Amino acid sequence: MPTRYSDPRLRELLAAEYALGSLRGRARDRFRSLMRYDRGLQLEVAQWEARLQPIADRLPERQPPARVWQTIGSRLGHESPEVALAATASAATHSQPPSTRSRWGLAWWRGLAVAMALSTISLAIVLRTNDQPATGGPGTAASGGMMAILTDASAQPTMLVSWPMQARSDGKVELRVRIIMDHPTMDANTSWQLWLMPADANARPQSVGLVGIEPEQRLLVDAAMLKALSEGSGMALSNEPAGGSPSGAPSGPVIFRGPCIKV
Amino acid sequence: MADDAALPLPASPASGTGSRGAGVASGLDPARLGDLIARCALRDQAAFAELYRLTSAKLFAVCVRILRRDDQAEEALQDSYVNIWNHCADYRPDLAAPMTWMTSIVRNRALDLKRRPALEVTGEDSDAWVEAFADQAPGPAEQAQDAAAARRLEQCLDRVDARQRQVLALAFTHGLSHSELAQHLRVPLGSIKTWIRRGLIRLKDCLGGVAEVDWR
Repeated sequence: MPTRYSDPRLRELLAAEYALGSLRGRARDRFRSLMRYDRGLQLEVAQWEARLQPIADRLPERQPPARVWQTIGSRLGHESPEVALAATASAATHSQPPSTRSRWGLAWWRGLAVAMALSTISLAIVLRTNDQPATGGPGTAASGGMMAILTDASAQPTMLVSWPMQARSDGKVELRVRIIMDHPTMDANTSWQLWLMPADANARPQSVGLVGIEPEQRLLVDAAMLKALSEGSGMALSNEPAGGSPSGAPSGPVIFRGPCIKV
Repeated sequence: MADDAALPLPASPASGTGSRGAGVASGLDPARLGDLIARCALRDQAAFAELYRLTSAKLFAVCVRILRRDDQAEEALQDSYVNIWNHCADYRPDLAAPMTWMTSIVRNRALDLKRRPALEVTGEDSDAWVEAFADQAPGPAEQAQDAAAARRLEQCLDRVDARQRQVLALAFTHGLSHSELAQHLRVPLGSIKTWIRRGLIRLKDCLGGVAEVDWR
């Protein structure tokens, strides 16, 4: 690490010019790679970006052409992005009919959904057979349930969360959490917090509870949450300060996530 | 991503959320944007569509100012939203407000694209932003907190020397480098560097060491 970058005044000036955009070319590349492992520089840049943001906010808006969104959707392999956007863009000028590209995307999508369902079924079978000797409690096997298979950023399965569709006699819903990754590690002074993503895209994530790194865990939530649990679209695990998010909404990075599935 | 499979697109999402103003910032509630980014991290495509609908006109304006050419600006915007989707799990709400985070991604992409040769810099509306900023009337539909931050920056810029102010504004909105600024303003390179440095120091002294993250 070059020592000249330890001069605090130089660091601040570089951070400011980086945020301003006047740091260019190879100097910009160099600063970027320096910043990658330097939390202090990241913070410095973030503060400058926040200071200068009102300038960007002030620019008069300009609507990008519809093809921009279509290209983004096809690059990401998303399902028929026009539909999703057209549904929300009530005041938009005009939306174009779905292209052949997006229909291809839809076919691919459905294939994926089938593959996903098959893998879920096999997992569910494994879980059921495992469950029978262990619990056998009322509700679990009889009325079916739901599960979420959480994966990490590289799509490796990390965690299974399963729950029944009904509460226990004491008015609680018991969720089983199984960590299925090899070496779960949690940073010091942090907690893992599990969140339920409601079906309504505009609703806030709901906290399910804090999770440890033990392979088998149980979480108890009030029966009042059962409806949300049965309609949830997905679950996510975020890294939070010790004791959980202070705000009641996810505040740290999401490390695992996955959809909710009926089994 | 396999885990997208069971996340259905809602039939008629957000049709009544009331943010249908003609290109005003009324939909840019930071907490709302933060929620949408969290949902994008869960691979929720409907949330991504909503995020795009709310923010793309703002961010396209940023691209156009820096790149000057619509085709380049569109490319930068596409790349940026692909990046936003791919990196939304890395978003740190404690470090930056949602719009600041997205603007940073967009500006970085636009500045990278600008490095390609043969992107000439024309200066026809180079002073437009400075003039717009000098206009003391607040924007028609800015949110109270945005307006407060903008006013604070405005007041601080007022205390900065006029030439320094112009250089900072051109660097930020138009993405002009030191040498481009020198060329454009017909001023020696050394003066540009000094003005930027002094302007930034004055700006920081005035704004203080605040991190604008109390948006919740």
